[in-house]
This record gives sequence, structure tokens and C-alpha cells, in this order.
Amino acid sequence: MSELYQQHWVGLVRLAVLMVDDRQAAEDVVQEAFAELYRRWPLRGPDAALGYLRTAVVNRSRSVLRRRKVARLYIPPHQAPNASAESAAVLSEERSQVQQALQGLPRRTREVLVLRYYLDLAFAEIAQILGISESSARATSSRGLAILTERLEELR
Amino acid sequence: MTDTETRLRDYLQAQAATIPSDAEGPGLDEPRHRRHWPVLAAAAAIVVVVVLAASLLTRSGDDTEPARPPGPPGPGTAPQVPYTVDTDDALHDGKQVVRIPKGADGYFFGRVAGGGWLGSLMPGVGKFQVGILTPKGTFRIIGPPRSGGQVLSPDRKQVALFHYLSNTRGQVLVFDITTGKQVAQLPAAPGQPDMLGWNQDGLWMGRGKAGLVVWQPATGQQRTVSVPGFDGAAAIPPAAGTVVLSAKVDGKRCLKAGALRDDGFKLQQQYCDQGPEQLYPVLSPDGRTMIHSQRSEAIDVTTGRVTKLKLPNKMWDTLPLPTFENGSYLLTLTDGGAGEGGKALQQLFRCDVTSGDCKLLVKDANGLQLHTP
Repeated sequence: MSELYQQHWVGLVRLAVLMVDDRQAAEDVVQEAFAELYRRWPLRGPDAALGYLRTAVVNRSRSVLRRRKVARLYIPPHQAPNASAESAAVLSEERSQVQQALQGLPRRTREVLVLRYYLDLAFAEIAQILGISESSARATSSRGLAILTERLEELR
Repeated sequence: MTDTETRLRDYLQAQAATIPSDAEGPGLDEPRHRRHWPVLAAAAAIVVVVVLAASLLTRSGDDTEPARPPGPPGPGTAPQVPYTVDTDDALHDGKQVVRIPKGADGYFFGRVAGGGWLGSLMPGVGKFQVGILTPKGTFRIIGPPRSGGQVLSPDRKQVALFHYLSNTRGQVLVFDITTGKQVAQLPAAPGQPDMLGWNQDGLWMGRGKAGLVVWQPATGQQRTVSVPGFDGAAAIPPAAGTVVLSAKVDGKRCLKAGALRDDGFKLQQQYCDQGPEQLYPVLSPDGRTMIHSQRSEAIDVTTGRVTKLKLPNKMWDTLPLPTFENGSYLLTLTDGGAGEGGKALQQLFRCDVTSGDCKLLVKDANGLQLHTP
């Protein structure tokens, strides 16, 4: 378990930060995912564990976004959490546009695009992680890219 | 790879790199407390172990997929639209159950005249082609390789598709389904139009900044339709003159129901609210009722009357979209919260859009996919 933690902690935090745009929240998400895995340990093998962790990270990221959505109702917009300090510092104009367009996508669409274009997962794997059919994953990705293209054109 | 894909990958890599490779987590707590469990906790643990052991003995042993795969809906509850479930490689449509051949994608775009369903063949990476899943379970190719975005004509006898000539350029072609022959085409142009739907007015396409274009393949006439704020999504039932478009108006997201007239798009009903999510319009086949999935509401296009759908959970807000069985009944998946293992649990409901009453059809509908009738 410790080996798994050493090996995948950074990668999973990177995945989570792409979902929630906030490093601290991403680290919390990954910590909770490992705690959840610990309660179910041992699984069949390292591959099964990684799949389990990715699913847990996506699901917990979703919870963070839900909570944040509720919080936004009470927080003035300029104070609402939307991007980490690090990302604001290093992102170029071009990348900021992609970030903005990505943030406007439906949650599920964003998840599919991150899993597809960051982790380079096959649609079958994405489907397994998100609990949807392979064709849904494929269709969501295609539709998401189309919307993203439109949004990026608008932002240019 | 398209420009969007390149930019998306670049952004994701850059954003992920904000977490340095040598970053370290806080570590895992060792379970020291186990040695000091009170007697009651130990007894409880024994019960849990016995229950888990019994459970494991009756399961297939897949630790990462603890949820039971859903089966087809029971008698009397089956959707009256084509659907697939993950437990079999088959398309279900009424009494027909057709095995989906290897290489065919499991997503379908409507029943074609004479039998069969419009689909896609995706035998490998970068290979995709339009075709018909026949009632016998074979797959008949229509049109050239590297084609997609297929849309059925209102009489279900023709199919329009987008043929990629390169990654950035292509053309819209129309084929007769019975003969397989090409009957119309638009000149090749840069970019890929969003093929939105085909009704009596023609084939509706989103062309990015160029806006909406409606092309009548039979006459070759093409017209641009101005809909202020249109932002890309549409519901265009083949048999109704009414369509619903998504739009941004004064910072609000809106559903705009209307019809195409000689002098342009005539708005019949507009329904707006605040929210960050993209709206995916859904319209009944008779064009009378539109659905706002984010709010679980049915809106009468003529009167503007809003009926709240009595669902216990939020409607599924992306694909698969809610699907009408007829003018009155809507099938929708809901987000039933976290199931076992923290995995999202979908449930399938049938709602009467006039009363708002909804009936649970499938309690665990993960893997169930509704298709265009």
C-alpha cells in the first residue's frame, strides 16, 4: 500500500487538480481516495488498485465541485475558488482560454475530456471509471470537443 | 489531431505540471488502534467479516467493480425506444433483440425505413464509417470511410453525413439508404459543421461563428438562420416543424422554441434561467413540450406552462439525454448519488410530462443507454 502511495500520489493529485482546479482540494481528494482504498485493501493487484483510485478521485472531485457550487451561492463571484495561484501564475493567455472554456463544460463532459486527453485512456477504460457505457464516453468526448472548439473561437 | 485537441492536451499537461514530480503527500496513517479495539467493536467486526465473506462467496470476485451489472428492464417497464445494456452486446427495440457485430459502435441514431438502425462502424483507432445495423445483425456500410455526424432524413430513407477529407476539411454528403448511392453533396469546406438534425425545412447545421445554416438537399437551397445568442445545441424532431435551440441571452442560458418561416426563425417560446452548465435541449416528437434537464422541468411550447417532473434526484445532464417515447412520456436517467464504491448510480424513470408524475423503471440503470427512436 505504501508503495502504491509513493508511486501514484503525484499522478493522482495531478488528475484531481484538473478536475477541481485547486491544489489543496486535489490533495484532500487523493488522501480520501487512499483512505477509502485502505478500508478495502487488498484488491486483486496494482492495476485493480489504480483503477479503483482513479474512480474514487473522480467521484470525490465531483463532490468537491458540488460543495463548491453550493458555496458559490453565498460567496461573491470574485472570491469564489476557480483557479489555483500556481495555475494563474504559469498559464499563458492561450491556456487560460482553454481553462475557461473547460470550466464552462458540463461536469461529466469535462471528466471524459480529462481522462481522454490527459491520461490518454481508451473509451472502454473511461467508461469503466465513470460508470457509463463506452458509447456514451465516446459521444460525450466528441460533443465536448465540439463545444470546446466553439467556446475557444468565441474567446479568440 | 485538431487544433482544439492540441490546445487541450497542452493545457492539461501544463496544469498538471503545477504539481511538481517530487511533491510528497502527508502519508498514510498506520492502523495502530487495531490492537486496542474494545470488545464490542471486535464483535461488530466479526459480524462484518462474516457478512463480507458470505457476500464474496456469492460474487464473481471483481474488487474494482462492486456494483452488480444491470440487466435489461423487466416486462412492462421496457423503454419504447431502442436501448442497449452493458450486460449483452445487443440492441433492444420492442420485441427485437439484435446482436451488435464486432467493430460496430454501440450508439444508434434512429430507425431507418424498411428496418434497421443508423449507426457507426469503428473497427480501430482513426477508423470510422457510417452504416446500418440490420435486423439480422449484420452491418451495412453507407458512404465513404472517415465519415460521421450522421443524421436521418425525416422520411428515414436518406442519411446525411460528414466526410473528412483531412483533419480540418470535409464535405457533407447525402446517401439513399436502400441503394447506397450518393444523392446530394455540399462543396468541401474548412471546418466541421455540427450536424444538428433534419426536419421538413432541411438539414440544420451549426457552423461556429457563421451560425446556423439550413440546407435542403432536394433543392440545393441553403440559408443562414439568425438566432441571437445561439450557442451550439439543438433538438430538431424530424416530424415536427418546431425546433428548440440553446442560447445565451443577457447573461442567461435559454431554450428557444420556434419554427423556420420565410422571414427567418419565428420564436414561439423562450425559457431562461441562470446557470453555468451548457443546456442540451430535448423536444417531444410532436414539438409541443421541451425539457430543461438542469431543472427537471417540462415546458409547454404553446402556453409556456411549466411542469416540474417529480423525480427524487437530478436528471442526468449530459449524454444520454432524456428521450421521448411519444408526445406524453419521457424516459430519463437520474443521478442517484453514490452507489457502492463511490461510483455514480443511475436510475431510469418514465415521466408523464403533462402531470409531472414519474415512475421508477430500473433501480440500477448504470450501463443502460437510450437511443434515438
